[in-house]
Amino acid sequence: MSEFMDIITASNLTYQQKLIHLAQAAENCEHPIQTTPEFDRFFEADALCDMHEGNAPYRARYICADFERFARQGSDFLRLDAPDSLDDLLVNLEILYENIPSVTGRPVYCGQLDRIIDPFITNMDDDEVRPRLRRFLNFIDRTVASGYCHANIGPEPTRAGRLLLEVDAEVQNAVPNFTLKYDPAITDDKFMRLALTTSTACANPAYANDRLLRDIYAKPEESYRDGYTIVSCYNVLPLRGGAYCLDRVKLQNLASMATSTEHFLNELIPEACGALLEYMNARIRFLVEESNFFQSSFLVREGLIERERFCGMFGVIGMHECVERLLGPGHVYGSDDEANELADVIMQKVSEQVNAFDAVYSEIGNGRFMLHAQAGFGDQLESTPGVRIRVGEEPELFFDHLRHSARMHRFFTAGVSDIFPVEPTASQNPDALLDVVKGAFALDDKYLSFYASDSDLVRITGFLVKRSEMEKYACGEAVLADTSHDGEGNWRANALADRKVRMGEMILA
Amino acid sequence: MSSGKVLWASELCIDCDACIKTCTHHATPKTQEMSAEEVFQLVSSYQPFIRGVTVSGGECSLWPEFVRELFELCHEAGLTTLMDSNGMADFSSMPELMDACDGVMLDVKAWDKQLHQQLTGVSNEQVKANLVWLQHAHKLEELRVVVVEGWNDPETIIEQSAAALKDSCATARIKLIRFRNFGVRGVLEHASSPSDERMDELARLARGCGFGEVVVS
Repeated sequence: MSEFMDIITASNLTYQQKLIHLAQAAENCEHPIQTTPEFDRFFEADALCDMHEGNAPYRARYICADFERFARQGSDFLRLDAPDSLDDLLVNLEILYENIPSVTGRPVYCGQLDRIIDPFITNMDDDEVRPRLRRFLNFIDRTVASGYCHANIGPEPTRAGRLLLEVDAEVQNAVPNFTLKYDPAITDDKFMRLALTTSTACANPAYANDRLLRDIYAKPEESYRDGYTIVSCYNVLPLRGGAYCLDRVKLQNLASMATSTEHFLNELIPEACGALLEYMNARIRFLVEESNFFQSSFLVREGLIERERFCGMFGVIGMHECVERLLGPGHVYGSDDEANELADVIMQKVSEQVNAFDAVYSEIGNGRFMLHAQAGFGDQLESTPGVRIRVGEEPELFFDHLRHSARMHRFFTAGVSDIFPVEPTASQNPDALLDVVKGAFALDDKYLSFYASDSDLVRITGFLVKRSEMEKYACGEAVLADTSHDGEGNWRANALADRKVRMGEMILA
Repeated sequence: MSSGKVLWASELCIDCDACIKTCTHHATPKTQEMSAEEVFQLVSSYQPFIRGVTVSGGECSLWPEFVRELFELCHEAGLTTLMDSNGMADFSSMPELMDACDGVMLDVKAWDKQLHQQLTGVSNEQVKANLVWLQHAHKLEELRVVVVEGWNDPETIIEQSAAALKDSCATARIKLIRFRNFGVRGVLEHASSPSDERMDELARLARGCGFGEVVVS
């Protein structure tokens, strides 16, 4: 059977999932982007990867629309007046979500919800707001239905933020993910305790180090608090913009091509990164100059996105296996000094090269691509996400793990993260988790997430899925969220159930 | 065993806990002598992930000089300092230690004098005096009551300590701790844990007596 017929006759895909797969298959019949022989060589060795974004990009990978502006102005294209009640606001947002594309076909960002909702609830009491937020969150879960979709809150504690957290703990949904932008100087401990208790109840929110991230991208307007969003698997992207593309170097496979560490550092890294950088420019030129995406989108026309606020993400993955291959047995990345030092040198090399390359149409990044520690997807074997430590080889002490993370996080501007399952008893002691977040962020760790080790909601690479849904898909059933497909393979391939569970020893002490 | 003491060699240790079972006091021989400065070095390796230290025991108030020295180093490093104590020592007679200590978690095992005598071999007059003195000195971090069914008198502890604290009870925290036999040896090895209902009932009583904060664990 042809690839198309396989999709058409599949028994484990929903209608919408078939549409997306068919569109991808059709797109891949075209080959408008020229690649260099150098790129092809590394691509065939699986050392460079285009994330299956499709051969002919006709929409930006990730879109981070300015929902605050949308809430102020409504939309001509969608024939929506500016809302003057919470009900109108939420329906307007729901309508807009249906009209925002991404590489998956579903929006990856649904807004800084606390800031958008808060002005609309001043004259309502909690009991009036709660059922509306519950319906709204369920709408996103069942219609966006992609674990890559993300909402942001914080760092200011707000009433809307509190209500969103409380309702999210009740509905136990995989979509949207929540990230709390956290700054201990702004977010009070009481709000953080609620957030951390919520994290142990439903794996949301995760925590972004606002102090380090808020100045990465210029604000879209002077009156805005910041200009960044956290979306998908913890990408840090410009608000009112997004990412054109994400392409990556698979360090573990590049290491397999190396005859020595010197060969790897002095020849393979410059050649492979150079080829990927050129390829990214070519993809972006096609998207900007030929696809007519920015020329035709009402999001641009109405100022909800600006082409000048898009960036390209340069990803790396598989540092753990890369260092293991280069140094041989006995050097465990995460706990061995030599292994950690080599990882540091590799990242210095990569980031120097990326930060010296002229990226096209990258005004928001000052003419540069942004580095991202790519966390993987699907059932990829033998590649630990980004610069994380492989499951099963985490340092014995949680604090040592976090120190290692902070050291590696410093290279990444467009997202880097860690995921820690914690003992279910951690919910009884949010202060202990708060100390962990405060300590890690003081050391310049950029992003943390937790889930209770007995939770049905679990994090894969960053995206959230329900264990129960993955199990259904594994048995051949169709399931609503297509992230359950990616999650199921990855969960098994990378033994994610064996992640070291943290906070046990500290809680007992 | 050598002259009544269990010998322990760290290089042979597999953490089987046979040493604790062998010891007639169920005490661990895995101890080492460290100066306050050395302990502080260990503590500071955990910064910035901790906000303070709590010294427990044995009974930490038996080592007031050591604890004071450690606490002063912690204070210089911006860490808070707490003691977890059975309240047998007279805190009012240790002003320097109390200056370096941010608060005491005071364990009240029983209120009835005879019952306390029976359980611990000593009277609890000093514990009661400490309770009031610590609260007035703003050094009572919390009052801790371990609830062991049939062994102590939690109702009396709650009611009488509230009465002793008078109005200041409204700013005091009481923690009601459910006894768990995990890791316990000796007469209480098979004692059962109090039920949720029992703990809720005691929490209600504590709130009714006017405690500012009631925590059940």
